[in-house]
Amino acid sequence: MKYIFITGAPGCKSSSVARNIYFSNSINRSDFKREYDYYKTIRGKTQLAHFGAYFDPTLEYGKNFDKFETFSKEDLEEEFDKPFTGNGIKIIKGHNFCHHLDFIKENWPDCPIVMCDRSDDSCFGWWLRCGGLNIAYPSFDRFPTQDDVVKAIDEQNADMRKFIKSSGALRVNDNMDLCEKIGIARPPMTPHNSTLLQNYSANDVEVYVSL
Amino acid sequence: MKYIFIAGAPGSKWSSVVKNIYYSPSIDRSDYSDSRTYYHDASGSRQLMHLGVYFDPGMEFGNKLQLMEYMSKEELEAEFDRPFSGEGVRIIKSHVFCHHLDFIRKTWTDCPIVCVERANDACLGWWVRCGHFGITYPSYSGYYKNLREMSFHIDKQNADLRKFVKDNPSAMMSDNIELCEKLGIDLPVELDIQNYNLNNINVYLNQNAS
Repeated sequence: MKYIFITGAPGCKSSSVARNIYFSNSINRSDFKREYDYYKTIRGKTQLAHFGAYFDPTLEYGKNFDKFETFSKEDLEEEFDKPFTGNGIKIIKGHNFCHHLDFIKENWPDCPIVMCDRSDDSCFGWWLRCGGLNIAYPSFDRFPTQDDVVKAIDEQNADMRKFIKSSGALRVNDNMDLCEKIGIARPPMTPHNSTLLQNYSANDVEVYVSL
Repeated sequence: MKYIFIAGAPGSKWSSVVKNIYYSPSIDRSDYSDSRTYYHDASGSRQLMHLGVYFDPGMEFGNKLQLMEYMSKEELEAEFDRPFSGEGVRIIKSHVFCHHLDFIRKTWTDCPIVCVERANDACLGWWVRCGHFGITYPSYSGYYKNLREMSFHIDKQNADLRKFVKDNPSAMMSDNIELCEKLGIDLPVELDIQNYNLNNINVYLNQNAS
């Protein structure tokens, strides 16, 4: 497999799900740059909230992904590969993928899709706590107002849940279980690289994988 | 029983829990006025979100309730009764009750406490969807001030409410019919059934067995 796709609406905690498998030796981490880091103090704890490349309409990568299904597989792979230089499996994360999950499954049948589901209100609440429209990276400039984010969360969650149901995606318990299911090495658990045993239920997030 | 106490953080959907028992003939609705209502379309269609009186610092009543444990039972009852003039059981709802549930339990032993719980992020998300500081009734600007403060209060209120529910035997309710039955009040006229699970809310009832 070349890619692991990770998706979910803003505030679904998909970035923490990605972070807790990112330091696996199987993963290509060449998209990691300090200018992509976004730290936020939430509930008194400063956390690396966002890191690495994100692919979504108007962002540096995936700029035109509002027309995702009009591109060829080759064009899309070229875009996915842009921020990477090294070896290993590339994590491709974007919110808008929620609307294109059947297309992704059809075009990359050997690549797992990881989906992060939280209630619409929880997504919005967490996104606000993380900084809302002031989040420095990735930019949410494509949403003129908070109401537009609310609408996007509801629509993305609805489409993702539909796919979870129709594809028979598997529910995953924690990041170690996720590594096992998608067949990558477990990340070393050290505070240095911010990897922890992440129990998804305890984190109030449901994680599903379509294999 | 004189009162039904209702506690829950902002965005917990506690107002919908109240709305769906409020029209019981057993309830004193003399606190109702058009100026004490708030409509919003957060649920997809314009609906009555808030009704009747709220007791909280910065609101019309209960301005000192964060210090309620320093007040006498008589003083508190005088404050609770101010907006009412009718007959029946009075619904007394306050967000800051979350911090004083043990005190309420000890002071009004024959009055039930309804605790409404949702995840912290869901509370914040729903409260902002419902209009945040633009909510015209009740007013949140005096005590909760800004979004950061609001997040802080939601977390603290939920933490204390959960601790009370854990430490004190409280029955989880499935819908408003069960809640009315357990409270011992008549079912509302023109009943709309509110399934709490479908509404993504946990509703707990704490009352003394006697």
